[in-house]
Amino acid sequence: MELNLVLMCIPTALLGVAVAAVFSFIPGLHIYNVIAFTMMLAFAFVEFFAALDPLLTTSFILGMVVGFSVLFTVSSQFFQPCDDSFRSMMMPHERFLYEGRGYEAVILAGFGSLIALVLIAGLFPFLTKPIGLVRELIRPHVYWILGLVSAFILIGEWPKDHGVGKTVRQRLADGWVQLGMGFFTFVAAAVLGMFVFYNTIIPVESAFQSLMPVFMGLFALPSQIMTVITRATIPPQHFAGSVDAEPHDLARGALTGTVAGLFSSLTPGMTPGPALLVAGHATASSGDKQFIVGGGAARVLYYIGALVLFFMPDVYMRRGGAAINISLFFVPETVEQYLAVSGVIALSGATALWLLPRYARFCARTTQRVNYHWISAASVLLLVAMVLFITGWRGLVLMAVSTALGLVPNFWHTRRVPLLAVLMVPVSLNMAGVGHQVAQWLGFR
Amino acid sequence: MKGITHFLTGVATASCFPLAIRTAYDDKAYLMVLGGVCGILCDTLDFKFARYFWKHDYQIRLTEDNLDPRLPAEAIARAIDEAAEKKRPVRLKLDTIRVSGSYYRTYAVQIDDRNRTVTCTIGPLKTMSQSMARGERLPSETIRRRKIEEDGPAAFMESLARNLPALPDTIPPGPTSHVATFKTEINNTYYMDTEIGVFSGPDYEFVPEPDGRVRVDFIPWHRRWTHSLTLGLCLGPVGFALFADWPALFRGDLAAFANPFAVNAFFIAILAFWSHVLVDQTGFLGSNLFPPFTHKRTMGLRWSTSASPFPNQMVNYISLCIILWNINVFAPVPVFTMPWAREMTGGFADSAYYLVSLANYLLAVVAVPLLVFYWIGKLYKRLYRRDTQVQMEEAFTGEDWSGGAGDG
Repeated sequence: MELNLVLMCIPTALLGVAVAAVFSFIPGLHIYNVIAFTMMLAFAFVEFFAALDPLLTTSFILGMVVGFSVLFTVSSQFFQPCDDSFRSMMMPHERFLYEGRGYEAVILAGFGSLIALVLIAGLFPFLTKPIGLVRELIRPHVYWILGLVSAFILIGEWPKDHGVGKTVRQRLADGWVQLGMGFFTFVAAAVLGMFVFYNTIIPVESAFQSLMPVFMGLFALPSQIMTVITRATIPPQHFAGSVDAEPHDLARGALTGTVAGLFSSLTPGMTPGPALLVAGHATASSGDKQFIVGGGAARVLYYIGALVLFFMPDVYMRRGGAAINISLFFVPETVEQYLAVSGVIALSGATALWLLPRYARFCARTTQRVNYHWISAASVLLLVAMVLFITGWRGLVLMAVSTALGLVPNFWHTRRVPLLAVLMVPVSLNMAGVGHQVAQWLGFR
Repeated sequence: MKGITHFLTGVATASCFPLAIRTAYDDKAYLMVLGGVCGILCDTLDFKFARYFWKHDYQIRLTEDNLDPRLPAEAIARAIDEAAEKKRPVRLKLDTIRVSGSYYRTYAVQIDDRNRTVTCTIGPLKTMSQSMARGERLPSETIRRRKIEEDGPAAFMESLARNLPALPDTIPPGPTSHVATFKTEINNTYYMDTEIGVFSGPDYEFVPEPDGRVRVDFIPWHRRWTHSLTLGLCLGPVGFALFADWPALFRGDLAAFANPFAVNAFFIAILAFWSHVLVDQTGFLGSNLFPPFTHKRTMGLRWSTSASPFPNQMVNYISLCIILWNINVFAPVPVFTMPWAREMTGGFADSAYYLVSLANYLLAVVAVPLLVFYWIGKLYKRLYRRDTQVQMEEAFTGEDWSGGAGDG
């Protein structure tokens, strides 16, 4: 590999980090959507991109993914306060925001990201064989692993009733309303997923983003809508000079995040949310700080770790939107390429972590200058426009249905994780070879 | 043990059935999922069903119009004495005080077996989101125990009510605590204060013992018939029914009806369920193992508490190791060979090869990592946490409880 090419990768990757930093300011926006735009640009200016070495475009996308995975939660940390009346459980980072400690939460998550980046760039190159072995070991079993996670999501939700019903029927009803809505959310999301996989209404020319309206509707838009209607005041944020965390909080949080990240990156159809749920339980994680550190590590390991598997000798696994897009123009062949990619990740990661506290301070100050309602309202408009632009009015229809479903957990105080049945159930059924029959039974074929 | 621990032991149990693994290369049945579900089923039955059918002798309900701390305190004291006098278990539940869709009122109780008192303290309002939950803000058990002993439970609980996060100025005026006394000697396993918060309030059962004392049981509906070996046996047919080929039965083809998947599911369901019962025996509370022939919950082996991190992590890790081992052993072509068995021939079908590989696996993959993990934890506690515990006790003030020292 030529030294010039390697050197050229550095500014290209840093440009990717800069682009990610800009787009991370918009709460709810996903980097895969930005990559989709990049790919559309690449298709529009195919001659220009064809003249470039594929490793440069790859470095740019890597920079974007690294920058995004470290920075994208900062805006939601500060711009999405939680309204008590919509929730039965406030998430730790939301609690930190109300205590004026949003900055501290960002830094804790950043610590998790740092651990994950060290693992990916520093340790993974020595672990290609064991990772390849684990991948080979679990490959035929992914369908039941996804089935297991789905079952745990359903069976692992416990009633949150007030237990004041006078009769057995009243008490059962109190407990089962919330559980029942969790089940409903899971089943409805699974049916929606089957529909999207087997009979989607998205135009063929936008098929590469057929899941985009669904994910926007299930996750991004409901969060923004709830923020728009939230009546809460964000207190001034304190920029602490140090972080109040015990070493065991950092270690156990990092352990949880690492398990979740590796699990989600190696298992097709798995995302960080359910993986973190399972890993948090499995590693007996406890407390707000461990949760935040674990989240930071899991997200980075999922987004970047999964992407790195595409370049890793002994593995070469195409996993996630970024890897799929890169695979359109780049075929990894050599160990040198993998090491170059690891270097690009290390550099981009260091840059993103250097940016993180500055970015957090900027976002925290913005909450005192700009009403967060306007930020979320603008985000809603942008997301809708993006879906309309990429997938047309049909995408909007699909997004509207998904948004209605995505709002259910907010109004019935259930968890949002059952919504991921939209991906896990169809993937599991397809891998088990019964997807077609189920789709037929549902009338989708 | 935690739910995931039972879930994983169920999956590990299922993985010991070769068909559950080999189906992944052929028919792709979900036998492993059956193992996981049956593994966690005991707690599901308890927390999602049994608790709602439990009948109480007394159900104590305070309202915003009547925040009298005498009511819960006297009711508990009377229930304890009644259990001793009438020589029968007395069941009591304290209801939560839900004020609106957004707020609930807290109150706390403490049962003191040494002074034979029950103390109740009315606390402030809190929001439903649990952002004001006591959780991590509570001082350690050692400190709480010391404070209760030194200052008395009423003063301690009032101090907690004042200093922990809550809606400001919502503690009712006037005396907020009441101390009731009871005559009976009790066997109380939990000395600490209990806050009645947002979700279903605590259940108590006061059970007279042969020695004349009254035992205080918490969540008495837990680990009864649902955690029995008998119920596990009943689950076998359910597992069988789920995987049986029912149309074949109506065709009269019994061999197809009772296919190998159904037969395996029969045993997986039973054994995965039993794995939960077995693992639970390692805790403080056992279970009622053979209802309807037995009626009492046994005591556990007291090796650990259900929430202790290391025992949960250890069992989860062992379960994961069992699953990965079985996945490899039962695969048509094993993915890895253990170093000690590299020179041997015969594969996993050969018992010598299997045992040598297993010994190597147990040592290198199971025992060594667990020991390393255990000793790191022990060393950390010895070198670091012992000092911090002392510091915490010295620095223990109301400000610390309120989480005011956030960013240190």
